Amino acid sequence: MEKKQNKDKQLSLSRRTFIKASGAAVTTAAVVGGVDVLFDSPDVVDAAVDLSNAKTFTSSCAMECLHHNLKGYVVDGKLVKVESNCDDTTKACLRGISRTQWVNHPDRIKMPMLRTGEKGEGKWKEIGWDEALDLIVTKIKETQQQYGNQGLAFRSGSGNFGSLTNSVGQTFFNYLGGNTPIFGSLCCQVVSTTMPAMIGTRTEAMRDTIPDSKYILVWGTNPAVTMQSYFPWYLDAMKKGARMVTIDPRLSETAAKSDEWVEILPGTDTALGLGMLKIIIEDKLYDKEFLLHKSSVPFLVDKTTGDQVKEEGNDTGYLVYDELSKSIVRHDTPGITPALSIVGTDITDKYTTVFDLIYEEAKPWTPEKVQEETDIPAGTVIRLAREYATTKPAMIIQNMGGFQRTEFGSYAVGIHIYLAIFTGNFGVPGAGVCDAGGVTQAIKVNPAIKPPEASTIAKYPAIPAPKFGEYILEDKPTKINFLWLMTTSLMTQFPNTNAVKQALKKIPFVVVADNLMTSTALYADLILPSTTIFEDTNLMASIRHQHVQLMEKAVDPVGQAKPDLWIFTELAKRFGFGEEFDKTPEELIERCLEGTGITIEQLKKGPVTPIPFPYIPYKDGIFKTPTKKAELFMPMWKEKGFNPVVTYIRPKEFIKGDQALVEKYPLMAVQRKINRTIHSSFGTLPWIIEAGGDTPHALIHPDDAAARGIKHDDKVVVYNDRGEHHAVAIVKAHIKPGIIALENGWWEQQGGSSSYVTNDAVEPLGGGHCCNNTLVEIKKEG
Amino acid sequence: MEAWELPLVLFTVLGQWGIGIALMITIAESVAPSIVDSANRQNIRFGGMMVLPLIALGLLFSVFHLGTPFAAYKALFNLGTSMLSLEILAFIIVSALALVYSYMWWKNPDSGLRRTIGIVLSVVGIIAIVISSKVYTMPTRLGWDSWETIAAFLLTAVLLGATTVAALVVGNKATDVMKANKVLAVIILLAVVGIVVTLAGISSMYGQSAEQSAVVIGTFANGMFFVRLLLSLMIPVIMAAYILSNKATNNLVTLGLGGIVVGELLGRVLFYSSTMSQYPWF
Amino acid sequence: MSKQVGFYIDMANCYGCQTCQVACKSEQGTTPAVSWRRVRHFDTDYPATHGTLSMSCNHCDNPECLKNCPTGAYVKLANGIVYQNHDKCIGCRMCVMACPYGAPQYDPEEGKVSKCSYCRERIEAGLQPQCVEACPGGNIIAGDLQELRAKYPGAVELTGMPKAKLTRPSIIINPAKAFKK
Repeated sequence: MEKKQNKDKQLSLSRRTFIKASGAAVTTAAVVGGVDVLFDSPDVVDAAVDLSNAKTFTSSCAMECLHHNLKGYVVDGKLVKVESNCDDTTKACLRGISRTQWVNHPDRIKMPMLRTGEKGEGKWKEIGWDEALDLIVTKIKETQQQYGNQGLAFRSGSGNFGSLTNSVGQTFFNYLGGNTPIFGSLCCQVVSTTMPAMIGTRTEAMRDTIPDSKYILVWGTNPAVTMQSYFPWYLDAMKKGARMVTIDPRLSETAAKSDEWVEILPGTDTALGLGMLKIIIEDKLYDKEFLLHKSSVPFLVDKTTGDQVKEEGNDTGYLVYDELSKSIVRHDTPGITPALSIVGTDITDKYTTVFDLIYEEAKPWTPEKVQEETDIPAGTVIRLAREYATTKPAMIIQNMGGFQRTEFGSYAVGIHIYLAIFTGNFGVPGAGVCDAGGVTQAIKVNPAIKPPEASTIAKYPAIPAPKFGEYILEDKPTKINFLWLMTTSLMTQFPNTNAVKQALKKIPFVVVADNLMTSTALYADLILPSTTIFEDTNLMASIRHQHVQLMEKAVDPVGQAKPDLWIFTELAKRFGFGEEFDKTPEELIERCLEGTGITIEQLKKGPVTPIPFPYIPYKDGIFKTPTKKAELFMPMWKEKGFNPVVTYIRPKEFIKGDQALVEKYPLMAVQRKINRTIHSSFGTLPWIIEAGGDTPHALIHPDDAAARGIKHDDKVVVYNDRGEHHAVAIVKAHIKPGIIALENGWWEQQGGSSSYVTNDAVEPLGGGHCCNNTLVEIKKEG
Repeated sequence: MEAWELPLVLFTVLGQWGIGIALMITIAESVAPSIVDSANRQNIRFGGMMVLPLIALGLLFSVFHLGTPFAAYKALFNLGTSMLSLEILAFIIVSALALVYSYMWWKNPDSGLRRTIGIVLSVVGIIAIVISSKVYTMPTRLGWDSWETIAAFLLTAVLLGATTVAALVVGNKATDVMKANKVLAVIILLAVVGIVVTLAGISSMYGQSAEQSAVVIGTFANGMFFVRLLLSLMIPVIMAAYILSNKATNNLVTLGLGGIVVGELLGRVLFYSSTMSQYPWF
Repeated sequence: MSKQVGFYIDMANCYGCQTCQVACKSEQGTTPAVSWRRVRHFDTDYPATHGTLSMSCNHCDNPECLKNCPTGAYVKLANGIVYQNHDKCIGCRMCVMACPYGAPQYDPEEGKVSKCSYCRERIEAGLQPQCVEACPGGNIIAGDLQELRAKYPGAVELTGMPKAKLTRPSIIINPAKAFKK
């Protein structure tokens, strides 16, 4: 199969461009017919740049996306242009290209800044690095003395996936003896707990064989925006005859390209999945051989204990009922025919099977009941089930979508996997449950810094990330005296922003390492200026990209900005454990690459791809669980007091949930990603503001708008008991009535995040973020 | 407010006003040759002298509507192709004629050359107005590409010119001047009819294309439009009635003129904004 | 050199990421007031559809910008590019008023108008226009217009777009689903 190429590629990207300057004047102010550029135009040469004397460097677009290899042009020590680099199969986007303006942004933080006014007031005093680092040491020691190490909290995020970034920070705190973790990724915590438990791993990319799929079920995610550079492969599949169906409350950009858009109520995806599974089971549309030999559904479950039954002393020795010998044997016994269901056998008083348990949960979900819960017409449910089960190969596109940022998102993740397993849609090209994936599926990358002995790192109870605000305000599980934040902006991304704001104000010493005055940096006690890509050397070898990349230092950092590595090295030295930190970036990169077969010398010549193409995860249905089978019964869920197989639990903050709340706030809000930002990154770059606007929008159905006297382009406020989000209304029938779509990523300085209203519940099965089960009201403003 | 294109509004209206005055003085004088010697001699001289400042002020506005006004001379470089280039040339000629005309009204009002220049200025002025309207009748600008554009520009000149000259000479009891006044009153009424027909023409554009429908809405659904109707239609009719019944005074018609000028300015604003507020059309 | 260059715009496969819009700005260094290439939205409610069309300048066969410019700033090059000699612009905005596609754009700071140059300098260096190079979906293709029209079926105008007969734009569009019968 040939590598996917962009249409009519007519140019090798390695050629330099020669542009004569056309000599336009340099602008200063920036007012564009109604769109104010909030920050000064950065000092980019205002004309086609003369690149005849440019030096080029490559780096990687490091925030949480697809980490495209970027080429930066440097003239006279200044980064003047960024382009997509290397004959990759995919290209960087408007955000990567706009990085020129990030590096050169006039509002870059140049010196450490100490708060002088109240938190959030924006009053700062510039101090030197020595003073800043000494202050941090003092604050850490004070915290350790007064509160112990649990008084220290650290949170890094998805702003930079470089190997010399986040892990260095956590390693520093580990050397200190540990810290209170702020636990749970906001995007996909429940995928991380569910998928590896069921199939052995996650982040194994299925993208390579999307064009081979014949039925693509995009379920509650939007690859046309969030995986945009390989979205053309979805369209390739369609050109080859694939049917693409998108399930989403909103006519997303992906839904607009699909053959069918299925509107669904947020948080009810599991009900739909169970309804589909019922039909697949009852109509015998399942792949029996696959189920019997590649999955755990024949495993026996003890009716008394509720646990799967294992051979004594054998952790993978699950037992099944062999129909041939009519006896209970180990699942991996050769030559047996395990029973899917043991109904009608003589062991049903003691046992049941995982299959039976699953069917028990699916059975009540008739198409009519599914329609009642999800609003999807019964006929559509039946048709989806049959189409999915019989059009092979079929792929469910999960991609960390918004459907699992709901109150029982783990079950929704689980039902996708159940459907794929039941239909044998795993381990063959064009099939599976598509997650984002990257080089770590093929190589093991070591941490940059040698970690301390595990026994020296205390394990403290965690603060669940969605409840950050509430826990800090209640000193749960302990009082936090010192917080370090890097590569993340809590004030735009964490739910219930007002609580987050109060929490940041309460914590006596908050350090934010960042390169711009983000919404979160506004609430710091001490801001440390960190470097951007192209200003430091780093390694990209992580979970979202196919190529290992060397990130080159192209220009000197602005002002006194320093790489996060340097910051932690200096601190480590002050604490007396600097030895492992105090190495050059190249040495540390070599440490990361040890054992992978990839060297820095290779990377200097270009990115290295350790993943074979095409990559087929769990090939031939061999999973990476201890049993090598897909394990659909989840002991982890049972331990938490929940049904160990997927079941539907109705969300509370939901139109059919807490009716007292619905009285006040009758609209369901979902969050969407827009192409101007990745989370909050890029949000204030002038080209991004020109292309993507400077004001949040709220999408509302014409019926709901009319009932509230709201017209297209009206200023509105979306609100509930948690807070308010100000936006401009888009009135279109592009969303299910009763639901509004808010945009993620807007800065305080741009009007404030949609997270001011979002649900801060913690998903009980996996610790996930529940922002897509939020109830609000909306009204016209002024 | 950017879509109002005020510099262009002022350029076109002031220029048309100045040309209209010259035209109407020429017509009035041909009906009543004694008009220059009559009791309104100073008024008529004043009118003639106003032609240059009005046209010059208009030109000044047109130059400063440019992004780079000091390069305005370059606007003459595409005469063979660009209607705007031709308009600039035409208005340079008009200005030259207006300079001579107004100067002669000041220094030598009784000269026969002054009358001849007046006729030439009137003719060249009308041509210049037609050219300036054709700047806008681009085939790609659907809301402007019609006879209504040309008519509107000409009617502004006629209405403002006739009302101005009437304001100057009304009340004069000389027989031929009274006849000239009646002629002016009839011209005013005809101009009003012309404006009504033009507006009817514009309204009939509705439905022919998205752009044209938007122009119709932008014109008629605008609050300014009703004010414009009062000022540019009602007031002239009242003025004409007064003139025809010999009850008009200079002050009255001057007052009316003030309202009509505002009306024409509003009308021109609507002409530009109903189209330019749609930018970009795609 | 070919007689008329043009753009093939695959609207059916374009998903509106706006990379072309920003890549153009990055290449040409245009000011905040000006985006030579813009993505237009085509949305309907009943049925709910969403389409995106990227367009810059169509280097028309009958360029109204060129005809209406009083300084003669626009010229049609031998290869068909409608090219603006920026020094000649006096900011009268006749081209802005004349173009049906909104291609020429006025910068109030500079007092001049500019528009897509088909990346003339890149073309002369043997490269592709930057928008073509940057589009992640390969949905913009530059080349000889006749060849493009022979290779790609499509339309020169769609409902809601200016009529092609007015300026004869050098484009061929693969219409979005909603426009296909």
